[in-house]
Amino acid sequence: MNLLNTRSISGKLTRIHLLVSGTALVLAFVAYLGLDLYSFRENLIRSLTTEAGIVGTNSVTALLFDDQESAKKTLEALRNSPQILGAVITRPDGMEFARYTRDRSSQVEIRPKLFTNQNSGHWNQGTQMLLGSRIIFQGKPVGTVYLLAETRDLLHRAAQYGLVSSCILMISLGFALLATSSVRRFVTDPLTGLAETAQIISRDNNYSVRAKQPINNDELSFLVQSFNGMLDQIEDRDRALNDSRNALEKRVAERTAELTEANKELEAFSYSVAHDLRGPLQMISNISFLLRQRNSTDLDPDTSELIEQLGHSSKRMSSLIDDLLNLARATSATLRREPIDLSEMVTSILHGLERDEPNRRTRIIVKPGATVIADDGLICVVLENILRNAWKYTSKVDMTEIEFGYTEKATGTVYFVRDNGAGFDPQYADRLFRPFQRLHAQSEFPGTGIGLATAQRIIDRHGGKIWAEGSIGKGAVFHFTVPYIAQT
Amino acid sequence: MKPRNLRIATNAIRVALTVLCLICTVNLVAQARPSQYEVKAAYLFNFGKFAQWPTRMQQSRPPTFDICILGPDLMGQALDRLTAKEQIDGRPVRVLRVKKDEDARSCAVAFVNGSDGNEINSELTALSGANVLTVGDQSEFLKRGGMIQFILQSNHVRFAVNLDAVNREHIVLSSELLKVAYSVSGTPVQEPRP
Repeated sequence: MNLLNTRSISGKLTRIHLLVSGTALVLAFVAYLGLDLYSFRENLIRSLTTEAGIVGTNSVTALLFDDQESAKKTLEALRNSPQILGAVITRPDGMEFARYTRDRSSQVEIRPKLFTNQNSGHWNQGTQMLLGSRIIFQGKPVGTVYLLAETRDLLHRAAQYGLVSSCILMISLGFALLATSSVRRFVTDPLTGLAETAQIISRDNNYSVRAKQPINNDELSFLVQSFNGMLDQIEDRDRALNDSRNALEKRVAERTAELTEANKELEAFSYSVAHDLRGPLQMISNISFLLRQRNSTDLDPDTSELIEQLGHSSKRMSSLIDDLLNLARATSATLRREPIDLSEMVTSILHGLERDEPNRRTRIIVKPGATVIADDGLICVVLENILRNAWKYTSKVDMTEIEFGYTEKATGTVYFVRDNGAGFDPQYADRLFRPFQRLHAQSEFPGTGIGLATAQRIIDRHGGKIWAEGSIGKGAVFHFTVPYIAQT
Repeated sequence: MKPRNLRIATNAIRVALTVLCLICTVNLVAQARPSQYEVKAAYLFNFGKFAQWPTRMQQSRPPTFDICILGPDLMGQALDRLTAKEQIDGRPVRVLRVKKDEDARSCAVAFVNGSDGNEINSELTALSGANVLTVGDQSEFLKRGGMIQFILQSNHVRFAVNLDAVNREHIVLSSELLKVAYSVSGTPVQEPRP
């Protein structure tokens, strides 16, 4: 229905109002007009019947004694009824007996219409009505009276009704418009305000706006109040959220600063400890060397053994300190990225290892062409740690097999070092990279437990990943990535 | 059928219809003009409907409403035809042709006719005091003491009333009847209220 196809509520209400009142009025008009016309017509018929009866009674003797003059005189009395245009009295055989016309100049056409068995009847002739009534005297018809009446009044009446109805319609239209303006003030304006506020909120995420409170105290006012209350709550919640976030951020920043400070102090401390330990350790190492040199012949075998162990321990401690210093450096040193040929670096480290143990049977495979952009010194530490590991854990197999290679993956190049050494239990794969965590006994494979942790820290700092695969007795594979992101 | 033949046939039908209509009209006119005595017979019958007879007559009144004809009968069968199976005042109407004038005293209405004035005089005398509504045709009828006299005026049958004669016999004629009378002579009598 197009009728309600308007945007504003007040427009819809106005149209509904007009439609309802208009329909009611038109229906009432039609009903009243119909009723009035019906009763008017009935009244007309009744009064005409009465007049016909009177005329008939008064014309009985005229008819019976053939006195047309008397009948005419009787009919003349009808001049008092302005609605009767003309009248005719006929004999029982239908012949005209007497005639009356109100307006002498106009010819009134009255034709007998009553059937012989009919005593009365009426017929509509345009704006006129013809009524016939049999004159009965002592149970016998002695003639018939026909009256012709004007029904133009009916039309007048209809016109009057129409006029009054239109007046009422106009007035009710006026009232409808008045009602619309009040509807606008009490219903539409608050709703529009509410809608606009909601729009501003959804568009700008601005919860500080408020809908205007309507003057009167109704459901709409309640709605607006609730809406504003809701906004208050949202705003309060937002503020609280913001405050707590700010407080949290501040706290995090403080903690981070504290932690960074503590970390630096710790690193400085461990660095200086490691560094300062070197001097006395060197001293112990030198003294044990001198002892061995000087008194090798004089000493009993037990003392000689003790001195030998002293030398070993000091050497081990030295390597431990080296590793700790490496670890500290891996964390604190600044990255200086430059292109590095990993294959070359791997080859040179493995040559160094072979040189130290020339008697080992080895099969070394290095895939050439692996280049990365990374910190030269740190990456060298990583490769040394991994390769040394591989070298160490293959010390007990007949033929040492170490392979370096790389595969291209969607996420980048993955480098790997594979060996056929002792391997490890895969469920402890994570522990490999934690400092001082070892999967093998010191007596079986000596080590500090810091190397792989250092390697992981360096790879982390380059933004890469390192992980290990393997199983007991079947060797191990170490994978790592060294992504290069230009911005860093 | 050819169009020419059709036209002839149509014309023939038209002529036949016209002739038929003419015949009908003539018949109607002939029917609408009843004879003078037929009209008078009807009037005679109708007078009875507008007259009231004295109440003392009510007890001894005959069981029939008699319309009598005294003297030569000019009405013929018209009156018998009109009054057949009719009733006035709740009594069946009877038409009597009376040989002896005295026999007519029990009648309600009497048509008094005579070959001359003397006969009419004697007939009226015979009816006097019998409360009979006397109707006559003769020109001097009212002067002779008759009550209602037919008058022929421009081919219309009218009647004149002698109220004195009517009152003398204690008969009351309806004002409706007097309204359509050609003339009313004499003075009406205000009857004392019972």
